[in-house]
Amino acid sequence: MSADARFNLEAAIAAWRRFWMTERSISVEDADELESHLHDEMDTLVGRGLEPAAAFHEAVQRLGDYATLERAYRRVYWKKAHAERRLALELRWRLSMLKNYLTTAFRSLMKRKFFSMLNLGGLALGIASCLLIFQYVAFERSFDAFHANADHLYRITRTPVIDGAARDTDAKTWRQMGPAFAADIPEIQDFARYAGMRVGATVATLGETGEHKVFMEHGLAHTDPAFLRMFSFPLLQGDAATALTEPGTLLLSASMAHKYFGTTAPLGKALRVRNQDYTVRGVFEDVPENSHLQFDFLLPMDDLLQGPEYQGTNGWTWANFSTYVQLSPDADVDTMSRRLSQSVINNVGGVMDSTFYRIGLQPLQAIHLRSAGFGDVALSRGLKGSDYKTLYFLSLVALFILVIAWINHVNLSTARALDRAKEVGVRKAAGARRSQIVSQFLFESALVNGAALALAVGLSMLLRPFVNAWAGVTLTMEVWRDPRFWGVFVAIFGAGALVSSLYPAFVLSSYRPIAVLKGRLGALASGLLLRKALVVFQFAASMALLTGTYVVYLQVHHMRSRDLGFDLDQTLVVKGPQLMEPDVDEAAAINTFKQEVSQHAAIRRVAVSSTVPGGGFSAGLVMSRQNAAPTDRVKIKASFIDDDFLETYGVELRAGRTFSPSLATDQEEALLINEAAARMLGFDTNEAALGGKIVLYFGENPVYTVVGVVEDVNWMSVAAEVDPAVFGFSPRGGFYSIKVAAANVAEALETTRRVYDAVFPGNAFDYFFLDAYFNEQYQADQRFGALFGLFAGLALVVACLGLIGLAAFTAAQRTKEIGIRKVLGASAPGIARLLAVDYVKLVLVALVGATPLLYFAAEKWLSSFAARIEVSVWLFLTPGLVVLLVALLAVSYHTIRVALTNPARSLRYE
Amino acid sequence: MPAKALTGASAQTIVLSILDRGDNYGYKIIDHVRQLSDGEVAWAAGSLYPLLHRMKADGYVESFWVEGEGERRRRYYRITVKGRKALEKEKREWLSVHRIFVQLWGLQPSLS
Repeated sequence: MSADARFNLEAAIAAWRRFWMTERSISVEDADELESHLHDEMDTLVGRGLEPAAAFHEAVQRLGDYATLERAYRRVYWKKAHAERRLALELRWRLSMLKNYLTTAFRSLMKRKFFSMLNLGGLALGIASCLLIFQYVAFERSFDAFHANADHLYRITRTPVIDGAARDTDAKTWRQMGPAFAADIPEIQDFARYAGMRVGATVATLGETGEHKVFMEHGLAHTDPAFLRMFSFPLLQGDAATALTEPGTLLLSASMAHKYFGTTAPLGKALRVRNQDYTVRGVFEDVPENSHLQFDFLLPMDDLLQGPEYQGTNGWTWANFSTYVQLSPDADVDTMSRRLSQSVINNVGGVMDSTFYRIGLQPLQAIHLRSAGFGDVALSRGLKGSDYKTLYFLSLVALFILVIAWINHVNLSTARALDRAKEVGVRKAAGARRSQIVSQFLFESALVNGAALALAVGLSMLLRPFVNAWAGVTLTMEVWRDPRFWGVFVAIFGAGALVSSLYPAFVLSSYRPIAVLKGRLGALASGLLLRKALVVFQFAASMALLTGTYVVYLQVHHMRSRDLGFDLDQTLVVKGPQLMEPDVDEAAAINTFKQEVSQHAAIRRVAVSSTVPGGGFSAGLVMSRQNAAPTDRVKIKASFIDDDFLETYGVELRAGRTFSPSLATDQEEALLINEAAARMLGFDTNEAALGGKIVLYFGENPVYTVVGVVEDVNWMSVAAEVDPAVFGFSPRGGFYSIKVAAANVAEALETTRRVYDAVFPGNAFDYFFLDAYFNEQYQADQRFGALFGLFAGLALVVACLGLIGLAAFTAAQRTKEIGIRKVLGASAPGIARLLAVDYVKLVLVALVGATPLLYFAAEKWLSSFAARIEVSVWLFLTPGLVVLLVALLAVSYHTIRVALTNPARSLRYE
Repeated sequence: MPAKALTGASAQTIVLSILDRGDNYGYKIIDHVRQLSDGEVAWAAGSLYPLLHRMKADGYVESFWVEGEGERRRRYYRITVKGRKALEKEKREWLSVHRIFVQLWGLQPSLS
């Protein structure tokens, strides 16, 4: 047929192709391949003798039908696309599940509002306590980290070693030590001496313009120009390069500039410090709170060294300076100590490793937390000091509280498990997989933890000022800017959410739906045991914290109320004048002051001394009995007092007499010693000491005679043993102690002020009450006690929240049982006892278990105090009873409510 | 014709084995299989090409177009290293199946 002849192969194939590609489900390349295949097939068929048209049809037939092929191709093509779509579906499903979880969580939280509140509140309170403690710890640890050179800066420490035995380390150094080190040791790039003014100074504005201002300032320090190079105390105004190089110039802090000059420019203004005039050459930023060096005014070191006490000495006599050095980054710190010690031996003598000063390098950032026992309080007063052990303790407390809070969460969640067992059963019966149940509960727990965390942040901000006021600490928000803090924060959240929810999640998801829906819950007994164990732990921890607080409180109280040997009460201490007109006889003026003040009826007695109890001694002097061997020389602390001192303070003489103003030689030759000093100097009895000759090794080695022996009094904190002490006679001390009659303190103060202003014109009247001043020594312990107590209380509250929840829960669980008991004749008190006894048992186990551990801890802490309380049963019994009582209170509300329920109501429903 | 399941299970191994002997294109592969089975196994192009596609996606084969002199433009397939590894594995599996049948049906070949 002509039709065959007219068969156009190309056109047919093109048509075929068009058809195959209409749906675009086959790619051009694949169509090419198929077309090529078609041609091959046709070639073969034609080779067998088929007509082209028949061959085409046959070949197309053999290719398979379009629908099948297209589907096969599509499956391949869309495999990838399909996977993407499945992902989207999965995501949508997950999201809807999330929404579902959220709804469920919200409903279950709302259904049991009381429970949820306890759960959330306990967690939030626990985390908030933790955050507060972390803020405190972070602040304490941040000291001196703000200096750019912090890693290369060190403070020089000094440990006297006598015959190979090391004595107490201090950080006092000599004037010439810094320069000597810089010359001897090339790795020391810079050094700065720093000397804070011990007693403070009056600072006054000069000139006619503006208001004349006079204040007593305590934050004055002399230092070297290198100080500003080494430390990062940036100048806001003035030139750091020339600052402190010129005599008669000073730098002051921004707030001091404002205090004295208001809004006018401070640079170039004049200030009178004591009786010297200074020009302001710079203003520095206020010293940050977290700096161990605290000062408001910086004066040139050279000005101090011009003073008479530094003239005519070689610079290795008075150790009144802190010396800071900056080491080059490659310096070997380990061998440095020996080289420095050698340098000191070269200058002051000594034998290496036997009798010498061992010089140490204390890293700048260690100063704040690791300087316990460094020297006198007098030197460190105004410097801030803390102890790293306190931080360890507090961190432990934080951990305890957190664990207690988490335990609450676990306990309340597992207790709720019973409640929700039916829900789980229904979910499982409806086809929920275990992993879904687990993730549902994990999600719920994360939600509660997240909410608690948010609440805790708010709570900690709210509580911060109260904690600051209560414990006298400085919690700043500064740490919130520290990424490490955030790390901790996130870690707390993560750990909390996970740890506290894993157990409930797995317990709940493990229920077999049939058992659960039938109401058989025998498997929950193990959860009960765990809950009990956790409650025991909670209360053991609470008990530990409370006992700790109690021990610290009793010890501090013991120290404060202990008989010091002298009378601190009703004693007003006025600081002596600093500005004296050159023509005024100081001794005479002081005498006038004493006389005039004493005339007032409200004032009993006035004494003058160089230092007062609680404020350290004036000096530590090396001395020995005359003709003693050099090895018998001892270092004894010394202060100067006048003839009224012993009587004013009620210090008893054990032998001999006190100073006498009528004996002219007393000032040059007489010495009072305490009994401890008498023993140290080798006198067998107090009487034997009388008339003893004592050589003091300084200047021209003067010889003194012991005229009296006084009782041992606690000049400093009773935390330490009584220091051996000697007292010289000087009617010109810096402190005037005024004994006031009990009722007239205000009047006495006013009189004293009036007399002071009349006798010492131009001086700022600065006073304090001795008992408060003395007790400042216990501040660190008190602060520790206050913080400890606060958080111990919080821990107990959190633990009780959990207990309330548990008690409420068991009570609710046993509603029916109680109903039956009541019907059978049980009394309400009997039932309350029945319900409470379980928890009382747990708490008792906790208390008994914790006591031995606490005993050892208390013994260890107390052993560092010279005057310590004894560990008695009551030390544990009292906090134990408190815990028990509080626990009983927590349990009782719900227990009693259930016990009082009318049985008809609890038994009505089946 | 063998059962569909068997075809499906064996197709990939057969294609890999053929390609292991040398690069080839679709039509030739079908032809080859038909000859090896004495015409008993006749694959449809519609099942082979999607299979090749999938094997390509799995990384067992790669394809390239060849336009020889006087020849039609054809898409050739070549076995990859991964494909060869897959073939080794499949070979072992088929041989173990084979051994089972040989023993079960007493087809033990003997040299005598």
